[in-house]
Amino acid sequence: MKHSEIEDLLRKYRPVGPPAELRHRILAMTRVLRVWPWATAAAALLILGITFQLATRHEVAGADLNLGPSAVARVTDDLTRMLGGDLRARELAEFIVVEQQVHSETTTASTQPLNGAGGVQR
Amino acid sequence: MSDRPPDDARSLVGRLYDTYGASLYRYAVLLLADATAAEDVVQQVFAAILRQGSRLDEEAHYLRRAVRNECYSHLRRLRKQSEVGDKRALIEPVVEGASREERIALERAIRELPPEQREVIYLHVFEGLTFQEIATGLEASINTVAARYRYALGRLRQILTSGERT
Repeated sequence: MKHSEIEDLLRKYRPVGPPAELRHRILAMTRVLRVWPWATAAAALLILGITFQLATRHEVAGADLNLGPSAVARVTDDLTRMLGGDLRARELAEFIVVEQQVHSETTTASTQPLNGAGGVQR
Repeated sequence: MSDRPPDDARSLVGRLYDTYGASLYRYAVLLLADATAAEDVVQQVFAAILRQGSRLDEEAHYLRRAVRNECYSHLRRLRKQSEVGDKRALIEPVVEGASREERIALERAIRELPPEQREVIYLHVFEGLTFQEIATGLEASINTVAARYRYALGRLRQILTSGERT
């Protein structure tokens, strides 16, 4: 198999596109922001508390706010329940979690330069 | 960047998503080899734009860079937390006659590449960028980009041919 054949094979495909609900979720964030102006301020406190709970429950040393996908799902579910459990609560919970992750990334980015991410592999 | 009224946020985000959302998502899917994580990354990038509530200069460049940063941040977290990605499909055929077995084999091979190599494959093969354009965008040397691409093709060939023999 030559490199050109690999390229030809790759060109028969393309990465999958986004699911339709992603656009809805993203646009829903704009509605949540208008309806719940206090959400941004509340996000840090809520997530901090839940992260602390998770860290305590699982005895994780040095836990930080960078939650993994399963923890994110758990936190989102908990928040949804805390906020009433309906669709709007779900949207708000998702917004809060995303918002908090963005904030967490922004504050930690300066200590982890992109070009050194995991080492460049060849 | 310039300030915009908050009421424009929805139309700004909607326009940006309709223009760039699909290609940003495809970029994230291939870089992460994880469709669920790609959704999260794209959503986080748009959440950041929403929070800023500002118009973007050089928006295509800004968005791709933001998605790239989020992807590598996600990969760093993944390493730290030892969480595994999902197994949703990464690629889909664009021509008739592609077999399911072929797609699965190619996808498995792509998953085995390091993210940096998957990224160059995406940008060169699927976005059609030249090595020079990729090097400029990634702030890497053209030799590095070309080497990553060459190594990626070599690795894909190795995996695919070993699969054919078994």
